[in-house]
Amino acid sequence: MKESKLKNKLFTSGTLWVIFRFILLLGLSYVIISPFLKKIAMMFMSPADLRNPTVWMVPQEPTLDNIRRVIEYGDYVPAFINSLIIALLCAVLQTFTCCMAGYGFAKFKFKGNIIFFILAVFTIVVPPQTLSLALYTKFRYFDIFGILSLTGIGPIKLVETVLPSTILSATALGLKNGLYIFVMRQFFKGVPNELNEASFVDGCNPIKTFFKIMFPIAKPMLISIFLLSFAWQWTDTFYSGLFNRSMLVLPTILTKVTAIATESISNGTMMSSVMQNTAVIMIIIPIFIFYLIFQRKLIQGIERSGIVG
Amino acid sequence: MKTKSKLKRKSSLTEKNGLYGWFFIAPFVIGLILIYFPVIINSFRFSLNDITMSPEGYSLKYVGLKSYKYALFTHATFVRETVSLIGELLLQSPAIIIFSLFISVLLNQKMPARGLFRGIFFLPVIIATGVVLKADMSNAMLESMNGSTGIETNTTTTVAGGFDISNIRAMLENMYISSGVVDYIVSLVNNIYSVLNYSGVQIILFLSGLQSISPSVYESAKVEGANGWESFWKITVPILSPIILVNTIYTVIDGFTRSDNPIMALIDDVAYNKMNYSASSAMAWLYLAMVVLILGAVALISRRFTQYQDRD
Repeated sequence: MKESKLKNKLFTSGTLWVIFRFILLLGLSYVIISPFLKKIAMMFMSPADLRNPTVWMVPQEPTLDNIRRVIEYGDYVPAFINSLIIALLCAVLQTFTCCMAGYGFAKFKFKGNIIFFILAVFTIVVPPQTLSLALYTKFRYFDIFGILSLTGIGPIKLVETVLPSTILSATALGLKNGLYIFVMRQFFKGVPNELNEASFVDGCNPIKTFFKIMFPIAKPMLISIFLLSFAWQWTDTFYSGLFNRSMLVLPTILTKVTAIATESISNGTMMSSVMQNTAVIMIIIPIFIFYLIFQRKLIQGIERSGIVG
Repeated sequence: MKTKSKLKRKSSLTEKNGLYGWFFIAPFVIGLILIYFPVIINSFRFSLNDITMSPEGYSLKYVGLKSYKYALFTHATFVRETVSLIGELLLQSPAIIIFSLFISVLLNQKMPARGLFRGIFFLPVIIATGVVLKADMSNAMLESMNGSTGIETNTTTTVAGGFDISNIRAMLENMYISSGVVDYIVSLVNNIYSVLNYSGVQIILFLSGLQSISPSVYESAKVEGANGWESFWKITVPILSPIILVNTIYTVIDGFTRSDNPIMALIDDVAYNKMNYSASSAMAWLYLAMVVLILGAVALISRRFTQYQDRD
């Protein structure tokens, strides 16, 4: 009895465990961020530092020129705003529709449930690259079963607007949305049926139950999905390259900055890689901060309305 | 008589509920039928036709299964690389799932700087999107700085140098562990960077799954005398098992479809560099069919271990 208590203490809250856990996480964190550390260091290096072989990680003449150049030549600010709008719009829509679909698949019995669920998972299996040509032509000559052509309006050109991304998000067909549907379905399957029955007895119809009871319970999952969706949309080059070539979004500043660096500054390759690193860090930092803010909401202890197990 | 009427009422209730089910999945189903199916069918059509690009668009010429035959029997590397990829992923996937479950349990415990650690473990999700990869290509400067440190700055490669793997190998072999197992462990340690990078999403999902377990369950287990190890296997794993299923499926899918895998690169290369769209889509469809088969097998196996709380 005493022995098992000791073991228990060592495993969960003992000092030894705390130290071991901290060192392990620290080491793994280092493996993850080590490529970024060098990029961050380089972000502040002046050309003199770059040429100096004795400079390692810590710049002797730190400068903000690289950041300034990315903001100026890469049109960072407008790209940032565009990316923010698109990412927020898509992430909110995707989170909502996927949550709804997941709930529908988890809690209702109807014919076709399994088939459509398998199709939902299938949509992540098909890599978007496979469909790129077909997707482009779909939105370039947008039409629903030829109805628009029949009524004389003719196919509409939807590319070069935000509509293709919006339509795909609102119908849960955006990037990896099948994963979100799958996750939400599994989550709602874990919610006891008694909850639905209780709210039915109290006079809620399923729609009201969903918004009043299920949506709040699913908050930790929804936040995670929102964060994933936001991060993927933020760095997405596939859909923006396909539908919105002319629109300035964050990933496009990478190519822009490189092109300018190679042209205008002597010693082209060196400067262009510095500029690219700076641009990458400046693309990633906002999501990182965004995540740090949102993860506060991911705290264990959200009670499942009294019914457990 | 009484039971009969009760039965009847219940069946009409589930029928009505079924309609509500359609309401919830309506946006997805509408999108699927109006947008996804036509796109998929179109893409499939490309694989059966010869495509010639012209300024006005493209024209198709029906050739049947010619492209499929080309991919399977004529193309030099397609089949070989696919088979070796399957083997590689079958070994890597369990490691990713166990690793991410372990890390998320750690990140769920109370500790200093937890938020920052969680943030850092979120970074692989961003790295996996390929934006960093894009910048790393043609990064001459970074390569020249590489020599001085242990871990390579290039985000795709494994941890190399600075760490002698042969010691671990010798130690494990001295413990009379079979060489197959030793090879597996050594390859995992060697690939810790890619295992870390491919478990970003899984960690996030596990973490939010853990959040929805009420602390009072653990408290009552503790009162009953369960230790940490027991409550992990008897509480955490069963409650998380639906999420474990998602993560298993996702790990397999991600392994097969991530853009840095050799087959995806090959498909892209055939389409955009060799300008052979039909062969490219034939390869994509063959590859897809194989992935679906493997997924089906994985799903059938792992479904046996999944427990849902709403099972009557």
